[in-house]
Amino acid sequence: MFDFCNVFIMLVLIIIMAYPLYFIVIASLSDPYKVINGKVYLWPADFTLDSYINVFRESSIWKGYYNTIRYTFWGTLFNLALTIPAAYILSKKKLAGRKFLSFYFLIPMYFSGGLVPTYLLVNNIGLMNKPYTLIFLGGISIYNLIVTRIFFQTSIPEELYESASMDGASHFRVFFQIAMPLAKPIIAVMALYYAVAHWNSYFNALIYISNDAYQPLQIVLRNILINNQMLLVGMDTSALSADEALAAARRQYMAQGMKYALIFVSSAPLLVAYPFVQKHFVKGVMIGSLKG
Amino acid sequence: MKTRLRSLISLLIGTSLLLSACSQSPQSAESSAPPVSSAPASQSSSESQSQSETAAPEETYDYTDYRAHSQFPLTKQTPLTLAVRRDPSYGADWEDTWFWNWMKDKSGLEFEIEQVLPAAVADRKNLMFASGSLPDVLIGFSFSTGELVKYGQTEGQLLAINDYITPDIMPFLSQWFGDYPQWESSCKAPDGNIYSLPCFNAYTPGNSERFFWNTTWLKDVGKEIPSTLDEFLDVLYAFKEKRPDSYPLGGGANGDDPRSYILNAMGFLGTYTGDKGYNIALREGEIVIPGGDPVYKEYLTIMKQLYDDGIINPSFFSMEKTAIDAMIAEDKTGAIPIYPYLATPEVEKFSQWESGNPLTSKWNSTPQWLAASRLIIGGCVVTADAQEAETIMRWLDFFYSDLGGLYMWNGPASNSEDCMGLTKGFTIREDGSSVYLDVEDKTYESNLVRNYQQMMGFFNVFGNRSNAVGEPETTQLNIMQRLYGAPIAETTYDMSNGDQNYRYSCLQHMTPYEVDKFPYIIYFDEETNTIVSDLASVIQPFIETETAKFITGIRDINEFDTYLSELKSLNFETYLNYYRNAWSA
Amino acid sequence: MKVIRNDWQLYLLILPAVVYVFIFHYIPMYGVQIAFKDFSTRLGIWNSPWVGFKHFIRFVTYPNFKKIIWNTLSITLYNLMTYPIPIILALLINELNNQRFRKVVQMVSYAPHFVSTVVVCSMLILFTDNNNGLFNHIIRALGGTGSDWLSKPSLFPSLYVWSSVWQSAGWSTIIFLAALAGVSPELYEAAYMDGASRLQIILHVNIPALAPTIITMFIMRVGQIMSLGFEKIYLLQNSLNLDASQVISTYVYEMGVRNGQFSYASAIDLFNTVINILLLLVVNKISQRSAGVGIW
Repeated sequence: MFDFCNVFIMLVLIIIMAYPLYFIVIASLSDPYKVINGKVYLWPADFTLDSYINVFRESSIWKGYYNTIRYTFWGTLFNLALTIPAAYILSKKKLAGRKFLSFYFLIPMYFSGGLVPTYLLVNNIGLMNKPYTLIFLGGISIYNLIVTRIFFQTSIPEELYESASMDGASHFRVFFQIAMPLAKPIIAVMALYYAVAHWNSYFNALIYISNDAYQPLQIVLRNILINNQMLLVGMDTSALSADEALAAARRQYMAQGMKYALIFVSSAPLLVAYPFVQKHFVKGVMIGSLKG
Repeated sequence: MKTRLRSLISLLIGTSLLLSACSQSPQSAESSAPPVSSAPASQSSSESQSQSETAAPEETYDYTDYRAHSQFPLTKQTPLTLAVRRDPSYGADWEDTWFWNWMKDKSGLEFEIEQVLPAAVADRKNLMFASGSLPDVLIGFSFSTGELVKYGQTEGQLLAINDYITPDIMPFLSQWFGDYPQWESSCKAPDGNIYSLPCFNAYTPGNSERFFWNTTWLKDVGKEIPSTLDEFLDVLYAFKEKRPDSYPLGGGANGDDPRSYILNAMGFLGTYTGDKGYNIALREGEIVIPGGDPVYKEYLTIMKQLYDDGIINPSFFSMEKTAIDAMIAEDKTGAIPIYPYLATPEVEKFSQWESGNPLTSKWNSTPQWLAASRLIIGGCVVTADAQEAETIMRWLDFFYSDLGGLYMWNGPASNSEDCMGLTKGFTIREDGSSVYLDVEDKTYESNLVRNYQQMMGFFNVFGNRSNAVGEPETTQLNIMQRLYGAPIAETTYDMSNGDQNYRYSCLQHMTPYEVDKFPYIIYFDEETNTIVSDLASVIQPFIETETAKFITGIRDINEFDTYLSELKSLNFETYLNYYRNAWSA
Repeated sequence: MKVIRNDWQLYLLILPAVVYVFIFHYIPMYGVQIAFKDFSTRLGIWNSPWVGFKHFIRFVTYPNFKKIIWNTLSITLYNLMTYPIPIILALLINELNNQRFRKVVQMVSYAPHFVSTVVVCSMLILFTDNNNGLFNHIIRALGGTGSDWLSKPSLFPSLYVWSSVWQSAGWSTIIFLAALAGVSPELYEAAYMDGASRLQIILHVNIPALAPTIITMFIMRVGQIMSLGFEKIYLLQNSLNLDASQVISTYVYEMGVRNGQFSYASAIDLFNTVINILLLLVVNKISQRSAGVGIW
């Protein structure tokens, strides 16, 4: 009975949640004016692939993908290397200086010097506009750190550590061989959080990267969108031929619908990769851990 | 002086250029002394002459020689550093462009350029000033008057260039200011200094605010393009009667807003953004803010009537821009404030539209229309710590000459040695129009792409994008014709070209009434700016919301007097006076 | 003794994070003083003159001060009340037996997170439109009268919050599902053997397992009560809803970015931070006393 209700609720929820997503799909394939006039409900109206074509005609998009994949991969590794051990340490109630460390990490979550000093710092240490800039700037998210710490505290019992250290295991061994394997779910979650943050990041690249070769996907996509939307603004239109004016006007008109297509262009890779990460959330990962 | 000899030589040169494409340019006999310009009377008549006319009348300087338009080569001990805005999609690396290569070759200067994306400009600008790591020159960073005052006057980080605008250091710019003293005073900050280089735009019909009528709809109801407010309302209601499902007056609050057309009819001469009622406008020569003027009540009454009777879309205040444009495409509206071809790119569709006339009404008997400003500032600044500022200014003066203004964005003629094999340049066709050879042979897909990839990278930011120095009637195209050696021909409009179509229409209907005496550029000193922006952040949303409420009937129009006193309690008078004082100063 | 000798390994594990935070978060912290100075770009942060609380006073005496604070809080508090939704969702998803169906549900619930704010706002504007919007069509089909939802200040917080729920609820379940995955199966076996119903298992096994995560995250949410993002509000503003849609962040944007008033913007940020922290401390204390769970 319970299961039946549950499934029913889930179905209703899925429909409500999925409709807007479905709408985005069909809107990206429709004429923008039909979309805005509410003519698009279940099917695309005036089917067209122009929105996608206009995005992919810009060759810069492949560089954008390449850079973003690179930043996401290395950046996430860097984030995890900082966050996981730190969260583990913070979860150890008996460690001397733990309270101090907790405050140490908590304060920057609220107090920040702002953009100007950070910019000056990045400039001074020579991190401006380099291929690895965006990898290092991701750093550590205090929020994620705290959530990971909670996980270590609640999901891994103290007895496990005690029994291991009584066996003579060093702290490193305990961490790497006992805690880490048990922390797979949270590592997977954090990897996902950080990866998505890298993938969607925009502002840091805007401020610190001026070289085309290092621009990530989000910057490239927004440029494409803005470019198409403002094709005729501030332009020397007196030099346009009739055909050119027509082509430009058409593209500007299509750009109004381009933002729907961009959702797919920017998130499709993530959505495709997601199922591989998901298997870590399955029940029963902890089977057999509490023996001894 | 030697003018007759010079013009004879130019004539010979011009003819020989015509005969041989891309030939070596003959030695120019003249030195590069700054030219003395004259405005030959024959220029204005050449516009309407037929195309068989031979090459230009009296030349005041050699068009084919860059040295007649600049002081190149210059010497500077250190490289000239610049931060330059770059187009997101089409912009090329500066070292790959024809323009900067030509410039490196001819100017004798070394350049170090950082290119910044438009989206990053606002933040980078603030950060650069805050961190103190500034280049010599910033181009394309759109400094507002507030920023010019802040960084120039208050912080002293921008160079005051007025001392450099002399016939010796900057002959061309001095001459522009000599011919247009009102522009010079517009460039001055409250302390009397000039902190930004100006941009002079050409007069182009259709650049100012616009309003268009659907001629098919007019024919259907047997009416003409209205000239008075009463006729205007008459036509709209006739539209509605004939087509009950339509919303005759198009546009919306979140896109192109038609309300300024009505405010204009009632005597408020304003800029583009005057429609929400809270920006400054001129009424009988005095600065007012429509939202606080007694006549505004009449305007609200009219608008409310239009709203109630379905003349404007009930979603007027919430529709997104796309929806606003869609109404035009779906033929649901007959009067619009947007360039028609942008909403309906097809020739049959946009040809139906014709520009409206400025209206008169019982509150305003002069038909007038505000011209787009021909002066833009904030596009180019020099920083205070720039090394060898005088040399930099001499370099910048080039952009105010005819050749300089052209080379920034269009590049050289195909028969000029300035092509340097890096660009194919432009040619003038038989009918007087220009074509870029690089586009004609499909190296680049369009003029726009070609210009961004080969040239300085932006349009209408600084320099002379207007007529030839001292010759008000010439156009950029005329300069190109002169450079190429083709006869000066009059501008023609191709009605199948969406852009030219509406411009021609505006030329007929709006241009005769255009007025350009207006406080386009207003300066406040920093303290006042803070006060004004705080007041604005309260007053502007108030006017905007209350206007919307009156129009949609949420608030009763009879409460208008209460509204005025509420406005007063927000320090409206003080706010208005700040603007009045700033303009008269 | 043995313990201290070995502890260096622990400190080593946390060292990279400490160093990183020091460089990128603590070193720039001197910028906080901008809020108490009249920041001059020429003089730099250190040399700019002190003005004490001038900017704070300006903020508090700003005519629309009450309005923007009230608007901000009504949205964030409303948002806070939807906090249980992802938790309930996670608990229900966790109970699904069919793995395929479960995967589908998860994917559908996460996907909205990837939709950009711009598109969410466009869709919202479209769906709530009186003439063409889906919501009004449905209402009219059910016999009601349609209206322009986004033009009503009173509806603004609801529209903002529920569209945010759509966007983030699924994504927020991730952490809860991960925590649930860590629950030992033996606990379930024991409860089952005791004859507990499904609902009782959820109440007595799952929820306690999630409790620390739930409480901690709630505390952190409270610590963000004054922080309301700028972009989405800005996109949803129109002439008629300004009474409800003028918030702190849109004001800071106008002052900071558009008018270059860094000190002022910085002071407002600090003001928000202080309030956030005060609330955080209060809620944290309560939580520590009653549930024994805290941020530190």
